[in-house]
Amino acid sequence: MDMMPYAFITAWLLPLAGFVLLVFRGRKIGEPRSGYLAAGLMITAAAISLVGATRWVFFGHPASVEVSTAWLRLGTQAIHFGVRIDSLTIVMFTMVTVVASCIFIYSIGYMHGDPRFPRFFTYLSLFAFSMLGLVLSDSLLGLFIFWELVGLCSYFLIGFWYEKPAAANAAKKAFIVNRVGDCLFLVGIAIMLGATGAVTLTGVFSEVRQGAFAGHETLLTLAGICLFFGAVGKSAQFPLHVWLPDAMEGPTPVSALIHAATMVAAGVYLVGRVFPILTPTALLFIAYIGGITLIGSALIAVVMTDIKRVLAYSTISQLGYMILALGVGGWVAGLFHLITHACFKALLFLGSGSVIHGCHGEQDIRKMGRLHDKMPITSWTFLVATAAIAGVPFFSGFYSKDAILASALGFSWTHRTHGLLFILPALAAGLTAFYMLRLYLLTFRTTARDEHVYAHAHESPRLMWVPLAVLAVLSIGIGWGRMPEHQAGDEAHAAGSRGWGLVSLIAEAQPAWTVSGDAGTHGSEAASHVASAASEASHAADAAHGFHLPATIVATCAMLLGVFMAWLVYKLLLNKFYFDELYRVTFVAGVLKLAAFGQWFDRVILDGLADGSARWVARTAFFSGLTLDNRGVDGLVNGVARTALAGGNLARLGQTGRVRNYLLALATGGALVVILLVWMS
Amino acid sequence: MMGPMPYVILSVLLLVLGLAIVISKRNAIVMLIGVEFILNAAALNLVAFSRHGAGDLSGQTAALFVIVIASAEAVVALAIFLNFYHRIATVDIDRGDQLRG
Repeated sequence: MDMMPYAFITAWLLPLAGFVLLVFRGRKIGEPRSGYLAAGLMITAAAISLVGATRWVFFGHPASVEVSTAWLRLGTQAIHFGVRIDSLTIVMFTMVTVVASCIFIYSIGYMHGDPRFPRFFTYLSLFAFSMLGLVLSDSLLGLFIFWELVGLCSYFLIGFWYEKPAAANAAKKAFIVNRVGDCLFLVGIAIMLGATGAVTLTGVFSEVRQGAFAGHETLLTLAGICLFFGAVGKSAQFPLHVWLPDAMEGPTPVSALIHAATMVAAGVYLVGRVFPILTPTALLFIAYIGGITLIGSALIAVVMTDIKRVLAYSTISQLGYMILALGVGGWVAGLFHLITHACFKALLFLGSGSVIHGCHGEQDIRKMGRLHDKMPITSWTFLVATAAIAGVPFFSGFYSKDAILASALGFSWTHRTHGLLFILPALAAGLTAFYMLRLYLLTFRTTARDEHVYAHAHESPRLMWVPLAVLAVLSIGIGWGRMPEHQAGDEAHAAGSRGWGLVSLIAEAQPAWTVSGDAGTHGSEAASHVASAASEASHAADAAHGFHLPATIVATCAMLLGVFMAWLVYKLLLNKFYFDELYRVTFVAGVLKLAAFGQWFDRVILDGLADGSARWVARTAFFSGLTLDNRGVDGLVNGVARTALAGGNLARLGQTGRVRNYLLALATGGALVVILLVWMS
Repeated sequence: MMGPMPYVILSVLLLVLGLAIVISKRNAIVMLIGVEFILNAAALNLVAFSRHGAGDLSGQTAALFVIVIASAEAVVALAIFLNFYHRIATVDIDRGDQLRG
């Protein structure tokens, strides 16, 4: 059992080795081989983590394993750097390595012929390393470091084709928008460090549990919301969602790996990790942000015509689902959806990449159609993923979305004032089915609208469709399983029927103690009716078994309504709800106006003052210069000047203007002073 | 436990190396590297003496300031070099003598 963390650490370091090799030798290793090298290392890592996961599941395991080493000491306080492995880590780690392996292989085909082929795999390897580090990290600080690293890789990869101005701008936009969230994330960590003196997750939880925030529940809420804003940036939640659609300028494998499957899910993972310290108020805030995001972006996805942008908005919407699930206390449901979503959304993106590849760069779905004849494998796998995301029974997305809707219904059932938190996801479930089906039909069925595109379309090479097939199998089967009963709270792992499958593995990692769970029972001051109500719900939602059937029925009915509504508001949404325009009007125009005012101030007031005084001075000078200066003073001055000139020329000899001469003199002088001091003492 | 001596020796080496680079090189970027050597020699001293001498955090704090200032300085210097390069198409600082009378 003790070997477990080291096996995962080894798997984690493999992509780093690939990165280092490719950084220094990438150009020499050349086009196909650098891809095979990176992919080979990634597959090895996936194999190690699969073996580790198998061992973990079938041979018994402790709740969590931690390995850490003192990293740096600040005065009396030591900061540790370590890894923490529990069931959630295992699931995430395996998901990332497996999906990344598929995408690495796919990229060898997709990036074929790119002049910067080795560099692409250099970045991908660095990203895989950072993402795995994020998953393994046992402290908020470690999380933050890798958080920034994945952000950096995302920046590199969005702007991979930096010759395109759109790509370069999108990269900058993504980076800067993320800074806003990360800034607040850092504030959240600082509050935690200040109040508890710990940065490891376990340390923070135990300090909070022992009342580090007693009497300061508002601060704890604030800290939770700050931490959550890190997730808002990275997971592209409303108001910071604007960067993700633009990030589609990057190569499609990047969109699949970073902007669909792994990095954007890191925000959800973060919220899942810090879940125990989130107060009911913070959770409610999170739930509403998730709700707004999932409905808004689902609506926008309906009218997008670029194949990748439809998928981008659908990613934002699905991330909103996960965030909402966590907000209403459906911890397992949210993270379950994270994993299933990673599989089918990676598949969707790789499928869209295959389409774009086959159509020679065409991304507009209005110009596609009937591609099913030309690329059957892509079409079938895409259909599988569409069914999964739409929630067709027996596909993975059905199970996870059902779990989320059940949690949301459980929450809304206990407090009717927050009924919106169920209505929104139910509506969006209908919209999801609608826009995904629209995408599939427009691309692969209907009539060929552009003869030119249709005539030249072709199926992708085997290197690209094999990963599609693997992910299609995962998209179907990964959701199968059963929740263990009575898994919530204290009697976790107690008797009761054992679950199986992915969902039960995630349920094992569910935090046994949470602030929100505590607030209700202890009735602290902050526990207003919202608080206690939310805490009841967090248990109610966990045990939401009774709500599964109604949730499914409601979602199905809502789908038809959603389809109808989507058409009604079609026109309004063509402009992405005018978010970019709004920001332009408020921020950009504001700055421009400020600048214009500054210019006016400069020209009229400052220049006026300067001109006025200058005129006055000139008049005086004219008078004194002509009468006094030219006659009496000049003679005297010229004499002095001549002397000064001669002296200056003499002194100029030492002033060479070369810094190094001065520096040499300075160093020699300094050395002489030191020698003199030593000699005199 | 070692005393501060090894750190001081390393710091002296860094200082001399940095000085030598700044004095002998004409490439502006290499000179900037030399300056960084010197700054880091100072920072290393601060940390070493704070650890083995004063025992409080003042030296380490000062070292942090040194690091921040070094990065700010590098930014400004590189911006100057860029302009320099645009004007003269080289980073050889001896070529920047237009103001010489």
